[in-house]
Amino acid sequence: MGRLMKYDLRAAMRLFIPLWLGTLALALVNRFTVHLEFSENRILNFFTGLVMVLYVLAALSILVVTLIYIIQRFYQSMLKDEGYLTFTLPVGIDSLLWSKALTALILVVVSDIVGILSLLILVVWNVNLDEFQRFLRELGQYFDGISLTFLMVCLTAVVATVCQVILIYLSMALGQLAQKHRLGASVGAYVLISIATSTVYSVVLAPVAMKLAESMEFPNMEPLTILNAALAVLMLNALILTAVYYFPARYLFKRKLNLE
Amino acid sequence: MEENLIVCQGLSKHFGLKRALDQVDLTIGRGRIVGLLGPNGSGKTTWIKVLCGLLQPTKGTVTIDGHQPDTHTKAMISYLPDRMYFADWMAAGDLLDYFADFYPDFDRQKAESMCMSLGIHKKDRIKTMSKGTKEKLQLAVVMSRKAQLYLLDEPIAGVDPAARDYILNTILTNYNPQGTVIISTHLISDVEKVLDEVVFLKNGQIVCHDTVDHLRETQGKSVDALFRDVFRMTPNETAQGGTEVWDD
Repeated sequence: MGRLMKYDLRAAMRLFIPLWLGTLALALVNRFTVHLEFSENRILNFFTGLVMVLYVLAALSILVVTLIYIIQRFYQSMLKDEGYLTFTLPVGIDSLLWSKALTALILVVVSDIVGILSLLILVVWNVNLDEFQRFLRELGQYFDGISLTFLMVCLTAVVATVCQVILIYLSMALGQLAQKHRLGASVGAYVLISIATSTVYSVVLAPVAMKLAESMEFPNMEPLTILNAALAVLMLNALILTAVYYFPARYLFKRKLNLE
Repeated sequence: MEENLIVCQGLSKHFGLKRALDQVDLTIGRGRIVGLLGPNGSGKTTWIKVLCGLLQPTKGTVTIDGHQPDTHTKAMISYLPDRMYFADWMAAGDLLDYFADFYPDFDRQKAESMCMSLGIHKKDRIKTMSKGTKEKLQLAVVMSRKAQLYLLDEPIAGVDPAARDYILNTILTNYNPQGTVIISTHLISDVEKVLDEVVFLKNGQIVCHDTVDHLRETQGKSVDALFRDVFRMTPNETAQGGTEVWDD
C-alpha cells in the first residue's frame, strides 16, 4: 500500500505544492499590502484590492480543487484507461482503496492546515508580538483543559473525511455497473445513498437518540464532558458509516468490476 | 504448478442482450505462442479482459495456473491493453520505477536498453510523446517482464508495416520462453509465421483451436487463407435480412 501511495502522492504534489505555496505567498503579500493606504492613488489601491481578492480566491480554490481532485483522480485511475494498469497490478482491492482514501485524507488535512496557516499569516502578524506571546500562553493554559476535546474534534474530522471519501468511492463503484452514462449513474448513486442514509437517521436513529438523551441528567454534568461525549458519538457514527460504505464498495470493485 | 496454464469452462460474458463471449471452452498450455484471431467485435478483447480480471464473467469459469483471476494471476500476467494506460503526469523513468516497484519479474535493465534504442530518455514526459512512441514504450515495459503469460491485445493494429516488424521482433526476442504468449489480432498474415497455435473466435464462440502445423497439413492452406474462408462475409449473406429495417 505504501508503494501505491507513493505514486498517488507524487501525482498529487505536482498540483498541490504550487497551490499551497501560492496561497501562502498571497497571504504573505496581503499581510503587507493590507496596511498600505494610497488614498490618493487609485491604481495602487486597486492593486491592494486585487491582491486581497486573489488571496480569497486561492484560499477558496484549495477547498474546491481538493474535492474535485479526489473525485477526478479516483475516477481516472480506477475506472478510465489508467484502470487497465491499476487493476492489473498484483495488489489487493483493500490496498487500492485505502491508498486512495489515505492520499485523499492527507490532501484534505494539509489543505486545511495551509488554509489556517495563511489566515494566521494575515491576522497574527498584524498584532504586536508581545501581545501575541501572551495570547499564546493564555491559550496554552486554557488548552490544558480542552486538549482532549481538541483531539476529539480533530479525530472526528478525520474519520468524517474518510467516511465522505469512501461514500464517493461507493457511488462510483455503483456508477460503473451501468452500461452507459457511468458518471451520471455515479452522481445518482451518491444522491440516493445520501437520501437513504438521512432517512435511516431521521426515522430510526433520531427517536432512539432522543430517548437516550432524555434519560441522561445533563444539568449535573460538566459542559465539556457533554461535548466530549457528543464528539465520541459523532466519531463512532462516522466510523460505522465508513464501514457501511466501504464493504459494498470493496465487494463491487472486487466482484463486479467492468471496465469499459 | 498446473499443467494447463489457462482453462476456460462454459465462459460467457453478456453485455445486456449482446453475447460478447458465449460458452467458451478452451485450454491453453505453457510455452506456446497463440494467435487469438477473429474479426472486430468477435470477443477477443473481452476474453483477454476477463483473464486479466478487468471484466467479470456472466457465466462459467476461467482459471490461470489453477487460480481464478486474483493477485496471484495478476502477478503472472503481463498485459498489453488495446489502449494507453499511462498516467499522463509520468515521465518514462517514472513508468519504469512503477513497474519495478510492483512486478518482481520486471527486468529494469532490459526496459532501459529498449527505451534507449527507441530514443526515449528517462526524463521524457509520456504526455508529449507521439502515439507510436507511446505504444512502443508500453510494449517495451510489458515485454521487459519475465511473465508466465503475455496477453497482447492488438499489438500491431493501426501501425505501419515497418513498425509491425519492429513490434513482432520485440515480442519474439524478449518473451519468457517458459511462458505463453497470446497475441490477438485480425492481421493474420503478419503474425502467422510466429504462431504455434491459433484460436478462431466468431461472435463470441470458438470455431477452431488447433496447432498451425496441423492446420496446414489437414487443410492444405495457410492460416490466413483459412481465416478468410471461415470469416467470409458475402454481400448476399449480409443482404439476407434485407426486409428488416431499423425500428425508428
